[in-house]
Amino acid sequence: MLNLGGDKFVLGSRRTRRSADMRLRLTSMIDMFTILLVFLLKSYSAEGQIITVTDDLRLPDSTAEKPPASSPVVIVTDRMILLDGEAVASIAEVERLQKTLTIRNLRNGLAEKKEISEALGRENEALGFKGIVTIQGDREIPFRILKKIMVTCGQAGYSNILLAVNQKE
Amino acid sequence: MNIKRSTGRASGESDDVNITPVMNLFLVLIPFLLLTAEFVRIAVLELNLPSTAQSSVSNKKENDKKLIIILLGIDDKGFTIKVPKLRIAPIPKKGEQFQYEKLAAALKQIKGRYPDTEEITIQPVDDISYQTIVNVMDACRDNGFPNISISG
Repeated sequence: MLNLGGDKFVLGSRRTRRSADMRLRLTSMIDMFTILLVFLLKSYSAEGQIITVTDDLRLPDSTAEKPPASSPVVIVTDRMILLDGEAVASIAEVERLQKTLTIRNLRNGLAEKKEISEALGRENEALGFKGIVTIQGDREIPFRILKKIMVTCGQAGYSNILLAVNQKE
Repeated sequence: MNIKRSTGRASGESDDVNITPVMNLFLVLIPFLLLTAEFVRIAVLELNLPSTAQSSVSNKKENDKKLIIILLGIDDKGFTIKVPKLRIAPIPKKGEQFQYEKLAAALKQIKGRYPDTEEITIQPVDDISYQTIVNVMDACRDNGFPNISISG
């Protein structure tokens, strides 16, 4: 790395007695900054965060590497089911209706989103309906809840399901 | 050598690199990058729904006639794998823990028998937690079965 000062220091210290010409030695600080800069540039992503996770939601860990896509997001906490931030059903309610596989409010919400994106697709082909939905689920939720959500998404036409996970090293 | 030294002395004592612009750059860049850094990385797992993927199924039937269906069941006792023409012993839990290493070994064995198959269907029972399903999906992906479907 840059070697500024170094053997100069001996000269400088001798000189300090005569004049107050003391130079600040920045070598180690620049070393640190360079390492930090390289690390931060490496972990920098220009896209920004597509998915933000609330504090009480602990996503499962996985070795997956695919980056998230922008799509409607179904959030499943241990108490509520939310679609794009709006509460659509409570877990207790879903648990009570054991026989029905469809969550009606969620299906209606997804159908609305589908209509909107299909209308957008008529204006601009790049924005059309792709049938992608992201599920952000807490790692503790049981499969019976997950199954109902997946079935509901499938019924609403969203057959391409992405499961959001924490990326492990 | 002598000439160089003499010119160095001629320009005064400050013959080292001027690092002030570098420091200025660092002081601007580092706070900016620190603010925009993401320390929790989020990825996604892709999942196919078996019931609605009819078009892709018909395509696959055209491509390879023999559609091999591998079923991986997860219940509170462990994993059970059903493969045509191959007997895989059930993988029980060890205490409270699922044995993912044994599952990976079994999947490798299946991959050796059917190298062209990439589809696998996971069948968990109702009480299996989301983390377990994701772990099993990871094991499937890492051992050559990237097209994962889930059926209830």
